Amino acid sequence: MATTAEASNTTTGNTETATGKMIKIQSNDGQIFEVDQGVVEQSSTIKTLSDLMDVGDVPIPLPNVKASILGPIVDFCNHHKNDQKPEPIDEDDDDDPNKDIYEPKRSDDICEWDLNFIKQFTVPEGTLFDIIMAANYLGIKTLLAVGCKTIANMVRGKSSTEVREMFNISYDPPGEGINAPNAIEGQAGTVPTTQDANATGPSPQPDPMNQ
Amino acid sequence: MECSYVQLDDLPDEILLIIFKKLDNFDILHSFHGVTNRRLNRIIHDPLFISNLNFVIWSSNKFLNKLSSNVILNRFCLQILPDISVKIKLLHLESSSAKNILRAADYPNLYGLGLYNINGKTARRLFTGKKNKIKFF
Repeated sequence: MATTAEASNTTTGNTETATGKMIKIQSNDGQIFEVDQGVVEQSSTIKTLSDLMDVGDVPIPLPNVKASILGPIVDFCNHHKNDQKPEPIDEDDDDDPNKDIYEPKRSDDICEWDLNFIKQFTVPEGTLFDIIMAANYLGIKTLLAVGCKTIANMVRGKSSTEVREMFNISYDPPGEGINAPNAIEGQAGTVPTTQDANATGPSPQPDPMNQ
Repeated sequence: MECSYVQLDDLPDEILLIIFKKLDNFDILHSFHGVTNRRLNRIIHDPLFISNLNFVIWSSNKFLNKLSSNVILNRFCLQILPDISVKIKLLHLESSSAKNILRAADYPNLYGLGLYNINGKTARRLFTGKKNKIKFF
């Protein structure tokens, strides 16, 4: 049976409030959250679904997000709903001729509230990746950026051995994947579009040079 | 909070690309080259991340060498650069590591080279016996 979590100050569903119509969203484990238009606007997925469907009092199902992740996401969007809309960012700014090539790429521009927010999610528990996947699925660019910057900050300055341990990255089995003959030459130059579910296996010895 | 089993290499490629784009190519290679994971290796071998390598950083009004330790220099010279040298098109080097990096591999597709904190005499010595046109700015 579904339970309802209050994600705003209103107590009844599908009501008109000062911030507009309330919409219900449902996590994959059945929990229902009520969100206002300020939250909906930040999620391209929820916005599209609510525009397309005449949802009425029926909650919008979000089958890829569980309640323990959707709850904090609603909190995040509630906190940011009055933020000034940022200028559209060109993701592929690498060709920008005005860009200073000596300037390190920045990922330290996370505001204090967001830093504290993202701290509740960790790599060992896998919840940091859950929040990133959920932000991607829901189309919440600001949260996706905070999550990806957090990972980038964790990686910067670490050797591949440290990164492998920190993220528990799976090895390809001997003779397969990267360990296959001519693997790099055959693969180089293309960014794959699909995920390889079989990229796990026994661990070869770490490279002593890479400490 | 409830535990999950999602790991970094479970993330889809588009998210990994977003993360990598927040890092310099130098950091990507230093941190991910040799993790022996097929998907990650495929992505970091994309020309986007290896054709332009900058080993110099501008800080406190001067150019500094990113290869701050011999361990990192050796790792680049012995493992990373020989593996990707064919795809490198542009290099930015600081004088203290320029010789090591240039001799670490052949760079058949290199069309641009930036040398920093280097005088003309030392720069010419790097290319002794080779036909090169050197422009000083």
